[in-house]
Amino acid sequence: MKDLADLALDCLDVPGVDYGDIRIVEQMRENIATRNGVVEALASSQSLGFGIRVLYQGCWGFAASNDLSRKKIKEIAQKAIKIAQASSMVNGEKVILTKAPTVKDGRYETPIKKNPFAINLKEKIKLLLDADKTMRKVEKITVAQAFFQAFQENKVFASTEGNRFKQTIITTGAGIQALATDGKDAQIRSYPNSFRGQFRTAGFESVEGLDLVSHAPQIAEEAVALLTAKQCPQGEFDVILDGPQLALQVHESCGHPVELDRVLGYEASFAGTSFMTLDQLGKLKYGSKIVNITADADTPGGLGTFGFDDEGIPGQRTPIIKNGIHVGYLTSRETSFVLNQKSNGTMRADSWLVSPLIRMTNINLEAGEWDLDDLIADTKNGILMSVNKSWSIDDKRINFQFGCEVGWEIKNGKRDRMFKNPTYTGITPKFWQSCDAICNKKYWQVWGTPNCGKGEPMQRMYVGHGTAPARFRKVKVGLWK
Amino acid sequence: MLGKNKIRKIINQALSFSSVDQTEIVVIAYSSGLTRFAENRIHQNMAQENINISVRAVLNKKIGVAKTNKKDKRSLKEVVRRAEEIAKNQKPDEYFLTLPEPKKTSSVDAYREATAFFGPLKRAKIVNQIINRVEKENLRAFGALETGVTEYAVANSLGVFLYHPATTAEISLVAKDKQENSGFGNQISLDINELNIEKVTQTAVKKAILSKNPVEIKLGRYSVILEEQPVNEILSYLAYLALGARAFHEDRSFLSGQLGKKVAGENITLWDDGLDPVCLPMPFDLEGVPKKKTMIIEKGILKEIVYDHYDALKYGKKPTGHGLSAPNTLGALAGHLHLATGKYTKKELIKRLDKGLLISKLWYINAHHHKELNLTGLTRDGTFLIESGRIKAAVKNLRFTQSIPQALFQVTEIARKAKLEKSWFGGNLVPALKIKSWNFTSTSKL
Repeated sequence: MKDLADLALDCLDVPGVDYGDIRIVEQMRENIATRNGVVEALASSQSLGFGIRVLYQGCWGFAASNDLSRKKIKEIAQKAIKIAQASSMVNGEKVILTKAPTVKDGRYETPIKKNPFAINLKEKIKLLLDADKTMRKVEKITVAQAFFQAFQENKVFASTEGNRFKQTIITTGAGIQALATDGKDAQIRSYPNSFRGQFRTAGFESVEGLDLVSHAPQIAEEAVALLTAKQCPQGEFDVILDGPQLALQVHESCGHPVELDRVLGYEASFAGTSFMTLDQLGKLKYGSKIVNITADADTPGGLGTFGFDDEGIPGQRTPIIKNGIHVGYLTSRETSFVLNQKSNGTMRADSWLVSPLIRMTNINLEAGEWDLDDLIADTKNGILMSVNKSWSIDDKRINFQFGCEVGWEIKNGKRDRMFKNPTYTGITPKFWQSCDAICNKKYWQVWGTPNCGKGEPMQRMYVGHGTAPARFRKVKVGLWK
Repeated sequence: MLGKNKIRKIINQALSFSSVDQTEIVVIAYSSGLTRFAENRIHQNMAQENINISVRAVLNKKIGVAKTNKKDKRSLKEVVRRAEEIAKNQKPDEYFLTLPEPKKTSSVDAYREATAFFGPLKRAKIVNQIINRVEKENLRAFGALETGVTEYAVANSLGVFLYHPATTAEISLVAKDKQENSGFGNQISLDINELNIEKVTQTAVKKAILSKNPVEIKLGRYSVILEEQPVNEILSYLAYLALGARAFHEDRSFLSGQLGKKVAGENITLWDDGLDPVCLPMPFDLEGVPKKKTMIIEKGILKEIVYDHYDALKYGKKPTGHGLSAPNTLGALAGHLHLATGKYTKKELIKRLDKGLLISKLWYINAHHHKELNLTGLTRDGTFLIESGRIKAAVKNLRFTQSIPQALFQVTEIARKAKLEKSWFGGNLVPALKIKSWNFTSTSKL
């Protein structure tokens, strides 16, 4: 691979090329999915290719191919230059890259205990089928599903500035889902999270730790109970969000609006922009004083954990919200120039086929001080909502509306009856300013979001969010049709 | 571009390595170029080429799938071996009967040479044209121009071999003023020469200018005119959550148990037709089943749903050609929907509206309840208050929370002309709709 990378860099050594890099990436996936006792997906996929990015007289070009022959590498390098030259036909501000630290021979590998690809297929299938069967023992469960996915990415990076690294990322995930129907209604429950479960940069030990089979009866029984549960009432309530739901709340209302490329308008015609504009940095009261949010590519096990981003910048920890104030963005070498800062290493591509974009790493809401039981005991008229079912937010990330799989009424400090179809809606900074309690480290966990979409062509990125349950005061609840 | 003969050779070579009961090979080879622009400059410009080769191996009703993006002999042998090894480790699927047998398949032309080889210089020229036009109005341009060619081939050991090359060209544009008031225009076609760049630009510019000084309106139910993009967004959710056989038979669709019953107003007729040359056609699905025109809702009555091969055999029906590539955990998906047109121009729809809202674009839609198809989402890039048949003011972006089955009974007027919009794969042909009551539940404002 080193020879091929060197060849690409030689091809980029021409007048006018300010900067260039090559990523040679191999990706392997294994997917297993069961449905009502049938293994409906058992698949292994492999993809190998390279992408060359060129900055020519301040304009970008990118080209990618699955053919790793020397002839093709030369052809694609020239193509990337031609594309960059075409970009320069349109007048506009030229790109200036901020300085990158020297990474001469970087190495990173996800620390794992058990390689998920090496575990016997039959063992993995049995685990899912056992959970699937356990859920179906509960009457009115019409669809039981169980999921497993392992992913490995081997990457070689080299740039015209002399930076080079090799990186291997391994992620493993699994989960279960039960659908109950009674001819009138259909209700779903998932464990430990929706989106096919919990995903981590980890080995098979992560799946073993989930203990899917033991949780299957409860999930199935809750799905059935939801059929006859009371509809979540409409009105203003204090809301406690559990970890998985809060993870998506952080994702949509904080992770995306602090992507600096969005702030600068790069996604305006597609994924949207941001209300967290440059003039707000250091001033915007994003949340209450207990709200501290950090972008951390070093979080152990986080789905957004890595050694180097796709510009060769080491993964790092960056404060985003400090004591409720907006203090940072996710940046790249191009965009950090605007802030007169250096990149904080968040440029990531979901494959060799595409150019990297600013993506979340692990956007973590730091733990607070509360015990969950105390938090419930301290809530007079509230609803505890668990596990995401639907999500929607506007193109500036101001107005959101989420639905959860299940809600529980909290009355005078006690968890009471179940509610179906709980939803809540709000305006991002008002909502976070209403956060008055966050649970402590005992409840803090980093949740994987394996389906973060952004960019054209759409890139699906693995990102993470560390959260513990938290309370929000006077939230508008119950809009669902 | 590889061409039919080279792809056939790849497939035959892969099939020659097969040693199980049945084997399916799906090849999707593509090359595309994309130019994205923002703040009146190109900020991302790229080209990509790849091939995906998927092997489904069937052994005693046990199914394994393996994929590669390498087409050399060694890689093909390895991917077939891997699929067969996976199948050996599988559990038998009693519902699986067979891969599809060869059937007569219509061919439909979806390839345009000019689109397949449209290079970055030509794309930059168009982007320049757009930016110059937008700048003249003191606006800023944001958008993307994409061109590409995809070759689809599906074959199996029962004798199926189908090949279909298809091109697409797509432009999307948002024009904005300094206050971030914006307008939207878009077009998709299989022919780059069919893109009317001037018209798309004009639409976005006009809407951005009309969007100045947006007002806040009282929340609640309004009559709405949904332009084609919003209608397509709603139909796409309908396809995803309600029109497929799996959701229907598992009692997860609001259409479950409703065959032959009234599920929409009499003015609603909806069908899927992958053979219509206008709508980015595809003559077969990714299991190699010929697509057939499927009448889904006729004058408000539910007539048929869409099936892939697996669910059709499982439920004793005929496949309609709506299968996805294995392993398919979703079931059948309609990707070439046609909504019957009405008799009004869009101008007439506006003129005939006493009070309501004109919605240019919907964004970030999601379902609060899959079976009831209660959707929420927001307006963006052009929302207008209509009073006495005229645009009275721009409106701040709004969130809706709306039951779609209810809305299907409340379509009062339909535009006479349909527009092609991008679907899950392919294109849907949709007209603008006037809907009597649409529920707006919050405003997007700080």
